[in-house]
Amino acid sequence: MSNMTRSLIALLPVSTLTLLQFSSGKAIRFVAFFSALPILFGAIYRVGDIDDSPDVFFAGVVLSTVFGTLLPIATLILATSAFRDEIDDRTMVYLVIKPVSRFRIVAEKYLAVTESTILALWLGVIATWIIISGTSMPDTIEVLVAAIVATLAGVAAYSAVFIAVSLLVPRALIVGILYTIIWESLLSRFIPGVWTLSVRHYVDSIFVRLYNDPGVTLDNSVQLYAAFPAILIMIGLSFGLATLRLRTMDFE
Amino acid sequence: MATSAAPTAPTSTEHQGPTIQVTQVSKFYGDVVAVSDITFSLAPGVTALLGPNGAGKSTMLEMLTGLLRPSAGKIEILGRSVRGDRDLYRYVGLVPEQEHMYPFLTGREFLYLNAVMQEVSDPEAAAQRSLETVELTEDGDRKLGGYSKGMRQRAKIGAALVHDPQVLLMDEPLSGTDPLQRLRTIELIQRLGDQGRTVLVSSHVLDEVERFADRILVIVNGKLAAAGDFRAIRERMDEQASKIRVRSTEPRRFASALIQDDSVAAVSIVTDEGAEPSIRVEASNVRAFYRSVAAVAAREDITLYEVAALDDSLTSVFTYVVGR
Repeated sequence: MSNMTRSLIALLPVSTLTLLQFSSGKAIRFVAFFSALPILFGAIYRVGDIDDSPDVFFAGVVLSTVFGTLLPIATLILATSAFRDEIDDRTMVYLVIKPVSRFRIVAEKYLAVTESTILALWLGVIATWIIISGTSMPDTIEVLVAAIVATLAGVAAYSAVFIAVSLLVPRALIVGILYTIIWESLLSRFIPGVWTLSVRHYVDSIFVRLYNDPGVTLDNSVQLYAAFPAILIMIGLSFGLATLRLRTMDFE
Repeated sequence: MATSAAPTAPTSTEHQGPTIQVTQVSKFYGDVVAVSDITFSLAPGVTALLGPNGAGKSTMLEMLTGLLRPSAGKIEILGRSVRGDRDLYRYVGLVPEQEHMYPFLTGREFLYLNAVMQEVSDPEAAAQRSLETVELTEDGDRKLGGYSKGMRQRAKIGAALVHDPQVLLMDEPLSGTDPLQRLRTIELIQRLGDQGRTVLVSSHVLDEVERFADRILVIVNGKLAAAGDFRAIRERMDEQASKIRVRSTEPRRFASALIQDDSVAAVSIVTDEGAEPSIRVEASNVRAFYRSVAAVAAREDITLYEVAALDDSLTSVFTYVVGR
């Protein structure tokens, strides 16, 4: 056992275990693949005849592709894998018959999901930004910072929501995909007021407000002082539900 | 197994009385009754949990560890309810039945992880001690994914022992082990019981169970069919038909005399190749037969060589209880 593994297990046993599980499983490969997809748009921008400035084009890719699809799906894959795999193969027994609080198990799983997803998405976003911006990178750094912060907020919120979903329903992956498509992409856009319960709307708002460019706008965008607390509330509620569920569920 | 397990069970509380108390526990799945109104208590020592497949043994063990909530009734370990009291797991170890483990961890990492999560003061030393106890020291740095079934079984036992629990619940711990490891595991279980721990072992391997557990709990169709010292249960079977082998001079004449006795239901002559014929007696009342067999032999001027019960074993007890 290496010193690093020993230290990580001693500090964060459940997180370390989950990260090792991810590194030996298929889910992380899917997430890496999804996270690299925006690079294609970067390549199209470089070879195509597109009039948009690099920062506006990058903002479009981030809002439509990253926040609209990749971020929720990538987070969903790892968040559902974190608990569901262990519940299904019954290795959860090794975690829950310990004098460790259920909250800590949820929190450490959350940390592992967030770390893995954010790393993969950030790499994809930064690579895309580098390709699109080319030599004008110094002039477009603000849009990258906005994308990085908003991605972090989105991963933080979706991880908590999907971890709770994975503990509450058996087919969490399907439910999560339906939630992303129906609630986040359709209902929150077309039914007034639904956006107040949409993670995506807050993530989009954070991005648009941080970037603060007249060429990139969003209907009903929320102020930063409202968006961050809203995301924190979603995380808190999801944590509460997940912990409660883990405390009361049967492991057969 | 090596002898490095802690010499005495840790003391968790000032609890007096049974270590495990199960009171009128039932588990339903809709209309299906998995466990029905079971009551028993366990004290330190080794107890075997027996029953046919699907009888409810695993459900019972899962309820005992708090993994499953009973539909009715109460389960206490060391006087504390098992659900919602995570601190109790400092004193309880479980060897689960399922084979899935973490294939990417080495045996040592797996035990170290369990020791860390049990919050033992020196997890590295605890993991090493457990590896030695289950004789996995040489393979400790190999991945669990490359372990044989028997080795994984030993790793699970090691994980359950890493915090020196006072109560140990083992679901089929002999499954998948080779004969030598089975012997060592049995010795380990005996030793754990002798150290004052309360050990409950679910098993199908009745011959082995007989060697490490004096007390049994038999669950049939979700109900407790028998509980207690299996030899005492065997005694209670004496009024039931039982098979006995008798070797004597003139077996055919002696068989004719025995069939006249009220305690005998049937006799037959067994002729094994290369051996003297023997008499197989099916006694309707074993105790009465044992009292009269010598008298009949004396009356008929027959010399007795052997009177031996053919089914004085846990298997016969189990068959009797299950078939009742």
